[in-house]
Amino acid sequence: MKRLLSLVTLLAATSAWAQTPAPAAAPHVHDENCDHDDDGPAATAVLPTAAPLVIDGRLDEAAWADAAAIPVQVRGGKLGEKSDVPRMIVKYTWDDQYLYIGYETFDANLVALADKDVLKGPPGRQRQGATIFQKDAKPDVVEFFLTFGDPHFFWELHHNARNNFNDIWCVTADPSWPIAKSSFSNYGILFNRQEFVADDGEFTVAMAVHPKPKADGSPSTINDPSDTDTGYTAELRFPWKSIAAPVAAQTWIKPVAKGAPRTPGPWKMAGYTMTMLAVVQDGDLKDRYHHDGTGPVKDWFHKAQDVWPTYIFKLAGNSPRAVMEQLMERADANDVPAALVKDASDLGLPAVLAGLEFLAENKPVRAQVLYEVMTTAGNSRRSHGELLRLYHPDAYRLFYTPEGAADQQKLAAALAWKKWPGSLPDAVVGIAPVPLLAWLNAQAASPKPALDKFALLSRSLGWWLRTDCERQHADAFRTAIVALSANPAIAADPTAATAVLRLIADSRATAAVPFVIKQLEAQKPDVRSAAIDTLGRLARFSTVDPPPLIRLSATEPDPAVLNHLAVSAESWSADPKIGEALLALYQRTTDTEVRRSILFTVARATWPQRAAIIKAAFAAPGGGVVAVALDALAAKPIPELSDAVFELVNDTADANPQLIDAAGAYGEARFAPTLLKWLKAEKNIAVQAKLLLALEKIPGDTVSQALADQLGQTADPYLATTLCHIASRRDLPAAIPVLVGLAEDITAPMPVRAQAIWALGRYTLPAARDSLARLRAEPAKFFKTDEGAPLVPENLEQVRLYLALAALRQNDKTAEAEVRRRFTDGTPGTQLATLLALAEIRRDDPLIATGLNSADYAVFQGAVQAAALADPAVYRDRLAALEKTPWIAALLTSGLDLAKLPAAFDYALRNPGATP
Amino acid sequence: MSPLVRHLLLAAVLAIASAATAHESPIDHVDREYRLAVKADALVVSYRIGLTERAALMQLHVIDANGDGRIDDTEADTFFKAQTATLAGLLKLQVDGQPLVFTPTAPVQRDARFGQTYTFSAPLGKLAPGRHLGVLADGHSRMYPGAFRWLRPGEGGPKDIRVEAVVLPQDAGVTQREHPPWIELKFAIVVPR
Repeated sequence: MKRLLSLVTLLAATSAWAQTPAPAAAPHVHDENCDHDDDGPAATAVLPTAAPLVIDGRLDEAAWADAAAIPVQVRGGKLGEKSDVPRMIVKYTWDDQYLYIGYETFDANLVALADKDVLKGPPGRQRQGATIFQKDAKPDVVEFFLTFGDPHFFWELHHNARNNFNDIWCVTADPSWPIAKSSFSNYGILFNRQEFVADDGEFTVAMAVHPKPKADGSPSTINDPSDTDTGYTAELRFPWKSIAAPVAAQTWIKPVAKGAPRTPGPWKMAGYTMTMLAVVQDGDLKDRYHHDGTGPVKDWFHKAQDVWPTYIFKLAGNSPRAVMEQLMERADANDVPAALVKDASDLGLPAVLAGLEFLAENKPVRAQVLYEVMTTAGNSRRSHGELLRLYHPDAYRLFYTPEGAADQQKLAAALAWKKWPGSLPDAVVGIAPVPLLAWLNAQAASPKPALDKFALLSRSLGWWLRTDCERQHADAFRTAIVALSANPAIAADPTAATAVLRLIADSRATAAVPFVIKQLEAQKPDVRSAAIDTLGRLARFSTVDPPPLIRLSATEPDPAVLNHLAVSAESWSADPKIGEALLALYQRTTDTEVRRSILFTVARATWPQRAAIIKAAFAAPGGGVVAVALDALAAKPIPELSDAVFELVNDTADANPQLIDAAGAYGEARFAPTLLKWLKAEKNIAVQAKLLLALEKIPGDTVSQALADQLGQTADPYLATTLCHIASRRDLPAAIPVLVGLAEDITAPMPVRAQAIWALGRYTLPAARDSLARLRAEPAKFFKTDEGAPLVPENLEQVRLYLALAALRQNDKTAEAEVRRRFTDGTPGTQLATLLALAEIRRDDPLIATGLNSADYAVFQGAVQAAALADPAVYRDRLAALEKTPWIAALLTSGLDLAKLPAAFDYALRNPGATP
Repeated sequence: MSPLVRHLLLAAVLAIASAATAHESPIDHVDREYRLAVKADALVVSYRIGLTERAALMQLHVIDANGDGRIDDTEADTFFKAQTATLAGLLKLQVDGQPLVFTPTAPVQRDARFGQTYTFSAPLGKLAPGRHLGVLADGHSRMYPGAFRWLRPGEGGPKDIRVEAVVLPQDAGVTQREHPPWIELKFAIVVPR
């Protein structure tokens, strides 16, 4: 059963129960400095030390207390499994000259051996090597792998409780490199053991260890198995230059005297990232290796860089001013780390305002970066003003107060520049609407508008308007766009005219319809196509007369333009004049792409000419038009073409998706034998399911019996689930014994069982009632965990609710009170499931009114759907009032993902007779 | 919730929910952050819940008591005081096996990511030196599931009373998919000698 339960994952994605996993018992321990970016790996912040550390092995400085504690806990040989306790804690900090590593081990038997053959380092400061493996001695050692992002070149460092140290410059050779197959290569790795981490002038490598006290207070001992140690702490210090830090971070101090040599300055590491893997070997453990990788390591640690943790060096305090200063320094060096831009963006508007003073026309890289940060900050303007006032007062001030408008002018300074930063359009649309509107109006009034800049801006503005992000100034933008369309210089330029046409559609500027109609006569086909698209989009929410399009359909010579016309005609799917024009166009054109586009539009149209167009496709079937015509028939069949479709079905040996759908749409008994024949021969599960769904639409006992037989015979869980769905929608009394068997079989796949139980709810025959009664009487007997253990009480309650819903479907009065009680005590998920069940069985219930009062989105949505489907007339006034309340109105125009909520309101209030 | 039970509830909604596959779940997940510390003989929890914009907008529907489409300070205060009291009751705390009660100790802080941070405190009395095991069970997470982060567990120096995260061996086998019905933080209050 466990194998088949994986199907649940698929189904869960469609449901109220699709959840972000929230591991509870095994806590996820994070530091708030851990940056999670949806687009990349998490980077843990490494904060600087205010004062240089004393390298004595004791982690007693303030910097260590502030550093994130990284547990080293992933078992090396267990593919990602964690040990129950960390085997080591590692911390990192930094300053202008050094990277510092601090770590703590918990080893009960410290074993550390020097490697007498290794003595490396600068003269006078050489370091004894550490033995990392010796079969009988089982030494302990800590390892670090450090790189600044280069997947092929990095340091491998070893350290032990004796303060012995190895440093190896490693190269992992790409298999395509000839060196990878050379005598230097060891499993694809080149170990450069002669290299060492050097000092950088006065900045030196240093390291020290400090044993932790044993239970009696005396220090832990090395290589003495007779006592119980507690581990040790250690500190290591490496100059930036010696570990291959980016040279862009290096600074130099200008000499005071002319001609004197320059001297090294601080390393500006803030914003740079580094990947570092920590590994601890405890020779006494069965699982000797533990690491802090972000996933399993299946090969050498050297080749597993995709799981080495990423760290970002951050400034202390993280003040907007400090971050922006750092960002501007990087911009001046023309080396802007993406992580630093993200840091600034995360700080939002305070960073934007702190960055204002750096905005200058003669500093284009700075401006580019600043406007990138502004783009992110400006996105907050999409939110409702009251949300901003409550949660984001800085944004409210900027967008909704006169003082904020003054700041917007400063932010949009680049609008007046000769050359715009590339990131300016996206930024100003969000963060500076007031000056942007002024700029647009100025272009509208100008005899020489900035056409290229306008075209750039229109893309950003169009997206913003199209996706309903504009809450504040929608009317003002519409007015500006209409004014732009009236500027002859813009209308005369094909690129600018096309941009305005798109903006008219994006902003729903119906006042510009005369301009759009005029552009139908433009010389350039692209402009005419854009005008057609715009008219079609405007017609979806406003009355737009089609005659200009009709005239164009009779005269337009360009097939590409006609294709746009055929697609846009869908906006007038009930207007017979358009139907007449498309019929004429279908007959006039020989271009099969245009014909197919017309047929796609025909599928959803109700014109009287619909049948004639589809018949024309059957009369001249070349170029794939018949396949599209069959789709149109599947959407709404035409009786006169039934014979033609029947002939096609009978002449086709193998199942064909379009024919299956068309045959199902006709729902005539004569199609059934061929569909059943195809079903028998078909191997593809998806096509078999399509055939079953087509057969569902064909009435009659023969087909009912055939579907019931299929349910009894199929071994495929997906087909069984599909058939249970069918039995839930169509009376298949012959299927009841199989449904009962599936519902009560604790070894059956759960998706099938669940659908079988829900289907049983449809039937009031004794067998179906008795089965649900048995399940409800002893749910603990019929439902267990994947391992066969009893369900925990909470889960058993959920099962009882589900069974009660199925019984409610049977009009079982005992179920009614139970469902209401469980709804009242339930989670939003439980309540949503209940409401959607009521919607499906179209049953009115007081719970629907309760759900309409909910402040929970899921419950509210479920209640609106239930109200719309159960009895729209009863709820019409309530739904109409709700739709007009400020917050539901705001929600419906928010551009947020609302799933079926708008459709449910539309169905209940404006189209109750339609198929939902 | 186990896949089995999840699916049972699913089945009831699939027939009409299946067309919504392109959409996100209608259930609004709530992200959480916890920070635990001992201050003045009390366990203090800083509890941040991060709402989706959709959930925050729906909440305004409740906050706006007079329905004028504006949220004034009184409406906001009234709502968040009630919300604070509700959450205090939903966070169940035990230390050394004894139940303790949280009370709010600071006004809610709101942030730009639709976050609400609540501060609660539960008196511990004088704890003896050593490790004191505790559990914080979040009843709110039963209603609104979501991911969580535990901020800075074990923070403090060797002379401070620290709250460390505890991962029990039997918990190591709990997979993310089959998470328990609600979040439970298991911790140890470490009182130095």
